Amino acid sequence: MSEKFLTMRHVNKTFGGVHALKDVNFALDCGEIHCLVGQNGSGKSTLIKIIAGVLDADAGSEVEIRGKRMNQSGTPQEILKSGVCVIYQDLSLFPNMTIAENIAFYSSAGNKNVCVDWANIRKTATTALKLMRVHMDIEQPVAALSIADRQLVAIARALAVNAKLIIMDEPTSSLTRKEVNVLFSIIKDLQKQGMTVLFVSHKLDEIIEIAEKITIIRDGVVIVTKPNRDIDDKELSFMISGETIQYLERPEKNMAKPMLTVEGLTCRGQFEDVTFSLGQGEILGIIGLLGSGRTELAMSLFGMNPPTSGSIRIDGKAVRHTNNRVAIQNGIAYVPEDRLLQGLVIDQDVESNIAVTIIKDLLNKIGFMNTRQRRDIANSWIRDLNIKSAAPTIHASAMSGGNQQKIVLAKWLATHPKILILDQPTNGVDVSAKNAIYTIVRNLAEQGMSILLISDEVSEIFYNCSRALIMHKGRICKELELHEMSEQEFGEEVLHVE
Amino acid sequence: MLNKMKKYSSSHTHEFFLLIVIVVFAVSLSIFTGGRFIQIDNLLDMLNGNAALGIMAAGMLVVIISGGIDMSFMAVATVSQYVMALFILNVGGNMFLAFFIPALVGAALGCVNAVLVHNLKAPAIITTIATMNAFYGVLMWLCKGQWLYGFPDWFSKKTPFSTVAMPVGALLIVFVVTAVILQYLPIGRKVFAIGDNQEAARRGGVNILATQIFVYSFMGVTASLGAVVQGNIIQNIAPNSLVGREMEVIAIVVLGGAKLTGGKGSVIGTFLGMLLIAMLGNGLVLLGISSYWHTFFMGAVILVSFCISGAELKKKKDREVSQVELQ
Repeated sequence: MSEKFLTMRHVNKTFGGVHALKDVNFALDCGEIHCLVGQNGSGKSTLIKIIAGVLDADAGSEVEIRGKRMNQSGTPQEILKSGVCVIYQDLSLFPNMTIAENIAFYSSAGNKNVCVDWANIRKTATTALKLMRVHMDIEQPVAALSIADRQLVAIARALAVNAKLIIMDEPTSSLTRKEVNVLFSIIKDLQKQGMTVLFVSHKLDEIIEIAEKITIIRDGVVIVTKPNRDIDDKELSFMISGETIQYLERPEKNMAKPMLTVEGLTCRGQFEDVTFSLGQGEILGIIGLLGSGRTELAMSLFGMNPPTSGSIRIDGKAVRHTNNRVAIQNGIAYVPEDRLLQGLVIDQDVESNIAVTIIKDLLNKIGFMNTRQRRDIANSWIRDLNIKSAAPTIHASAMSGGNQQKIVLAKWLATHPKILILDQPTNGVDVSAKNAIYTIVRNLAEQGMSILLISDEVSEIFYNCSRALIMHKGRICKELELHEMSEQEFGEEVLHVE
Repeated sequence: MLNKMKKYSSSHTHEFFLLIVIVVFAVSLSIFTGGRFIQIDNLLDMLNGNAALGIMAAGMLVVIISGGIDMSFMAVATVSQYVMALFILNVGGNMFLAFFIPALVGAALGCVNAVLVHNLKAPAIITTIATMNAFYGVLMWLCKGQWLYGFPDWFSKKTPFSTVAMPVGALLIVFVVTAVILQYLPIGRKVFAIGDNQEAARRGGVNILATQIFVYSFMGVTASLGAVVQGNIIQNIAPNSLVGREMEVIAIVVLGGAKLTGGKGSVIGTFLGMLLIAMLGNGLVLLGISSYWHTFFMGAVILVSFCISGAELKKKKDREVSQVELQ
C-alpha cells in the first residue's frame, strides 16, 4: 500500500439549499494518475476547488493532504504553496508575456524582491522545461503558441511552483491525437519523477487510456473508484449518466436529389477546399475537433463568414451568402454551438425567442406585431417539440439546457428552412433530452429537410447519420459510409486522422 | 549587436514602423517648410508645447496596459493645478512643493477612481466619465470659474535655459521612471498581468485592488505633474484650459502601440506617439493652416490610430485561429 497524497472523508458541500457534494470519500495515492469523470453539474468542479483550497468544505468534512489536515481555504499564495496546482481548461496564461515570464510568474509572485530578477525568471523557466524534456524559445510570447504548447507552458508553470499534485481540467478537449500522445508521454515522465496527476473530464475519451484509477461522480455522489482495467465502456457510460442512451435504428440511406452542393469552398486561414453534397432528407455528419474549422464552415454556409473562394449551390441554384439574411431567405437555418451566447435572448420569454426569426411575417398592415398570432405559433412549436414549459411567457433563462435547445430549434424551424445546420446540438443537455432532440431531428429529415449535423461525439454521428465527413485542420480528410462499419471502426477512423 | 537589434525589431515592429513614419514625416515637413521645421528653436518649441501632454501620456500608458482607461485625468489635472496655484499664491513655497502638492492631490483622486472602478464592476470608461464630471463640478462650484495669475518670481521668472529644461526635463524624468517601473519593478509586471489576464493574475496571488490603486494613482500623479508643467509655461491657471484634451493623450498612447484591451504597450512607443502628435500640430502651424483644421486633423489621426489598432487586433485573432487549425 503506497502512501496517500490526499484523503477526503465524509466531505459535504452545500451552496444555499443545493447539496453539491454528498458524503464524498476520495483518495489519491502518491505518484498515481487518476481520472475523475462526471457530467456537467455532477460536482466535480466543486470537488477540485475543495482539494485546491479555493472552497471550504462544510463542517465535519475531513480533508488531508500528505497527512496534514486542511481546514480552511487559503489565499492564492497559500494555495500555490500547498503543492496542489490546478490547470484550468482556460490555462490562465498571459498571452502577451513571454514563455519565461509565464512559467515563472506564479513562483516569483510571492517573493519580496525589490526588483524583477529577469535572469532568475529565465533560469526558472529553463529548469522547468528541462524537467519535462521540452525545448522552447522562452523569449517568445505565449500568444504565438499552439494550444498544445500553451498547455505545456501551463504544466511547466506548475513545476516551477514545485507542485506535487497537478489537476488538469479537460486537458485533451482541443488537442489532436498526436498532441495528446506528446502530453501523455510527458505526464508519464513526470509520474516517474514522483508527480501525482488528477485528470478531470466530463466524458469518456482519451484520458481514460492513461489513467490507472477512475473515479466516477454523479449528482454530488462518488459512484465508484476502480482500477482502470476493471471497467468496461458500457458500464462506465451508464455509471456516469445514470441512464442509457437508446439510439434508434439508423435511418435508411436514400439517394435523393442533392439539396446543398459545396465545391472547393475555402476561407483563408480557416478551412480549405471543402467539397461535399447533402441530399434532400439526408442527415450528414461532420465530425472534428474544436478548431478543426467545423464551426467556421457552418458559419460560411450561413453567410456569417464569407468564404474567399469556392461555390455553394442550393437546390441546383448557385448562391452567394454574403450575410445571414440572404442565407435565411435561401432556406438555411443554423443552430449555433453556444446557445446562450448566439442562440437565445436569455432574458426574454419563450414566445419572443421563437418568433424573433419571423418578426416580419407577424406584422399587421400598419406595422404592429400581431401578438395573438405570435402566441399561436409559439404554442404550436411548444406542442410539436414537446418543450416542457408551463407557458409561452416563461423566461428562457428559467429552463433546462435541453428545453432551451428545443427553443433554439423551434426558432429556426419557424423559418421553414430547407437545410438545417446543427452545431453540437446536444452540448450540455442531459441524456433524456438528447434522445428527444435526436427524435425531432430524424422526424424532420423524414419530412424532407436536409440536415447537417456537426459534432465531436462519435456515437452521436454514428447513430444519426448515414454518411460522415471527418474534418481536420480545415480540410475534409475522409468521407465514410456509416452503414458499412461498426461504431468502433468509425471511432478509430476519427481518432487516428492526421 | 546586429542580432540583438534584429530580435528587438521583430518583437517591437510597431515601434519601428512608427519610427519610419516619423522620419518620413520629418523629412517631408522640413522640405515643405523650407527647412524651418528642422531648426533647433522650432524643435525645442515643439517639445515644450507637448511636454505636458506627454507626461500625462506616461500615466495613461500604465492605465491602458492594466486593461483600464481613465477619462477623468484632465479633471484631476485641473483640480491639482488649481490647488497648486492657490497654495503658492496664498502660502508661498518653492518649486519642489509646486510639484509635490498637486502630485498628492492627483494620487488621492486616483485612489478614488481605483476604488470605484474596482468595486462598481462597471466599465472603467463609464465610471471615470462620472468621476470626471464630479471632480470638475466640485472645482467649478468652489472656484466659480476664476482665473489665477500673478505668481511669485520663483515660479514665473525664467531663463532661456529653464524655459526648455523644466518641461523637457520633467518629461524625460517621468518617462524614465515609468519605463523602470514597468520593466523592473514587480508592481509593473503586475500591471501587465492584470491587463493581460485578470483571472490568471488573481490566481497567481496578485492583489487586483492594490494594483489598480497604484495604476490610477500613478495616472493622477502624472496628470498633476503635466498640469504643473502646463501652468508654468502659460503662467495662468484657468479651470477650462485642459478639459477636453483627453483624446489627444489617449491617441498618443494608442499611436504608440498600446493595446486598448490591455497587456501590451511600451514607453518608447508612447514617446514616439507623442513626437508624431507634436509634429502634426507643429507642421500645421508652420504650413499656415487655420487652427480650425487642427482639431479636424487631430480627430482624423486619432481615428486612424484606433483603426490600425483594431485591424492589428483582428489580424492577430485570425492568425491565432489559423494557428489552432492549421498547425
